[in-house]
Amino acid sequence: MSIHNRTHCAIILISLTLFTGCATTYAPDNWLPDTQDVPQNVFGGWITVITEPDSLNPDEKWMQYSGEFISFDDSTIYLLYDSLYQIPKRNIRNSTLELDEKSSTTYGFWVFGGTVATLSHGYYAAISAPLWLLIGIPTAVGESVRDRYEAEEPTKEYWDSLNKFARFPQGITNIDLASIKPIFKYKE
Amino acid sequence: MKSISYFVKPTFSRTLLFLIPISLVFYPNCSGSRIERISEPPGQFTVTKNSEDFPFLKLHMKNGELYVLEKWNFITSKDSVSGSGKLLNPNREVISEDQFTVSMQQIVLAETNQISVSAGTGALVALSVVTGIFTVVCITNPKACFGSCPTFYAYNGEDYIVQSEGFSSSISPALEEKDVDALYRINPSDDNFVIQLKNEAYETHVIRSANLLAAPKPEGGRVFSTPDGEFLQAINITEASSITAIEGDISEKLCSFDGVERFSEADSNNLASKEIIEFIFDKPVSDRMGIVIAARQTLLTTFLFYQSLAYMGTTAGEWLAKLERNSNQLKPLLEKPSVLGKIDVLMQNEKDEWVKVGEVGETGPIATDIKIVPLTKISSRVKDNSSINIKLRMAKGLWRIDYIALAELKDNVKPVIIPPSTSSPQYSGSSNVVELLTNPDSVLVTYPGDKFLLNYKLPADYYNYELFMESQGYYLEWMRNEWLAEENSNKVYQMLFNPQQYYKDLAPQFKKVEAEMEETFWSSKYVYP
Repeated sequence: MSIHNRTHCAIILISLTLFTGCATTYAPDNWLPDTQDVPQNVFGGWITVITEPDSLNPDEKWMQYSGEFISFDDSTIYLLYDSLYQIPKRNIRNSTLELDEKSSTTYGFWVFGGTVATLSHGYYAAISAPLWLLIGIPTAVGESVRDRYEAEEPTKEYWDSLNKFARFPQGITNIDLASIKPIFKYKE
Repeated sequence: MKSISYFVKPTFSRTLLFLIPISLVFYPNCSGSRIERISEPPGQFTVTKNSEDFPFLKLHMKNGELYVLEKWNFITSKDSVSGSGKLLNPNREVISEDQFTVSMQQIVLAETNQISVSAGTGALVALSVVTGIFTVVCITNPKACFGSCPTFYAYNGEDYIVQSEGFSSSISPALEEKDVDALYRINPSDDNFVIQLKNEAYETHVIRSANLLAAPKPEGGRVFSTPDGEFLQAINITEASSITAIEGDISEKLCSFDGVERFSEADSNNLASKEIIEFIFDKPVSDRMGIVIAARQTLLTTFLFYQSLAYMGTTAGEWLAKLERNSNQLKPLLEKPSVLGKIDVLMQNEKDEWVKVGEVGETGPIATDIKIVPLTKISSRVKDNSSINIKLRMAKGLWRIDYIALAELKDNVKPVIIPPSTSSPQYSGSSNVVELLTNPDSVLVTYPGDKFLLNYKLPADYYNYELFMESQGYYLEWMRNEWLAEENSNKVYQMLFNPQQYYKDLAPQFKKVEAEMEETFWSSKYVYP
């Protein structure tokens, strides 16, 4: 393999590690607040659930639902997108809740730039480049999964721990859900 | 600054790529939480007042309405919460903005959030600051970064140490030459001798030959090469009884070939300004003596070379092409005695006048070369029948001198030429390095990062021979982007036709980087772990 090919290969691998190693967000662009704005944010977190089809209904398929986490009760999750969705908890096989916009892309570029900049260090690049990778990659990947609540086969404890991140953590008993306006209009 | 193309070399790239999965092992430890949300019924709420850590309070009401308050506090006496902010309906539309006092009876849940500082940002900032220092040094001072010619490393029993840099002044095909460097500090352990040949700089090396020379040693003595290319046996090697430079007695630094060097700073106004070192040796035992000098250059010539290329700028290729086409005109200009000069050896004549009796000095700041300068008519120069005085004259700040001694000269010997017998790895897939280096019509071309092991078969009684590295070829320095900004053809003409002024003009520029240049140069060396 030529010098250039090796270079390109390594740079691509580092980039892939940084950018695919990071957890992706399910939320629409500009919907999640910046971290420092979370204290005054008035909406729930962004929840994404994957549901298993009902075995009694052969027409049902695996589905993924995403939307603002409104609330939950003993049997149902309420999430809001183009309308209010009520999803039976028993069908949910995977759930992910996100609270804020992450800086992992910025970190990724930062680490990539920092690693490339070590090319100018000559002899010391043998120390500085590995240092950037050893510290930079965990930092970038760690940022992407920070404050992200994910569960396979979510349990009661999991849902209870999410309660405080709902729009209505007090429950929906006294709230007219029919009056809740969708946050996104469905486009044909 | 290094080009990306050289970043990933086999060993280095493998190490980096190995570190990627290793680093990911640690990422779960770096994925903590920055958002701490406290959500409790108001009676159980532990935070009672706003602070820098808890600037906002949200009050969730039974009907889905929400208060978002700043400057809030719990008033226990009145069983209420007070603060300024907004009241929002279940759709999160603002109903009103005001100063509110809300009874705790109405509140289902109170919520506040603490945002902790980002450890990730802190780590990357710290890393950027630390590594950025190195980046800035090399970018702002690119002329200090490592440059060399082919470097030859030999095994000294513990490690491979740099022993020779080949044809340092051969910067174009027209200046191709042979270069001989002594492997003075190497003691082979058997007749199989290995040399590491490396290209460690941003240069293309064109190497026609890389032979070992083995010269028979006299009993109890050594063999030295002379600046004229002869090989002289020498015995009774004795150090000076006194060595004095402008800073005082420097005998300790120059009494052995041990890496402890004497050097000075360049003159602030004229890089060609000279200095003198004085030696007193005990009365020589013979009339046929020579002065042994082990020295290498400081980075002054490296700076001047790079600065000249910077002045050539985008036309550097044209200048070198001119040199090739008109070598009869330009080559003498480059080969004429430099204003900077070499290390002149001075002795007193019959009239007690100091006269130059020889000179030594090889271009290059990397490998210390040891040579002998024959001295003539010694008996007539001995003072008071007891000692002999010798002076070395050289440009200030140009030379690093490691060892000086006086030796009695014996026979002029002809060394055995030993070409490499085998090598590893193969060159460009199939070509044979040995074939390229032994056929006078072919050359080995190397690029930054290339490294070859050359194996030589020494005579059976190898311990009776002094070894020298003889290389022939030339090299092409690679232009750096940072140099192009200084293009100035007038300066190039000044360098060629008025070098005295050229060295005066450049003195302030060199003095700015002189102190840090050595460290920057070696730290930017292009090597791989």
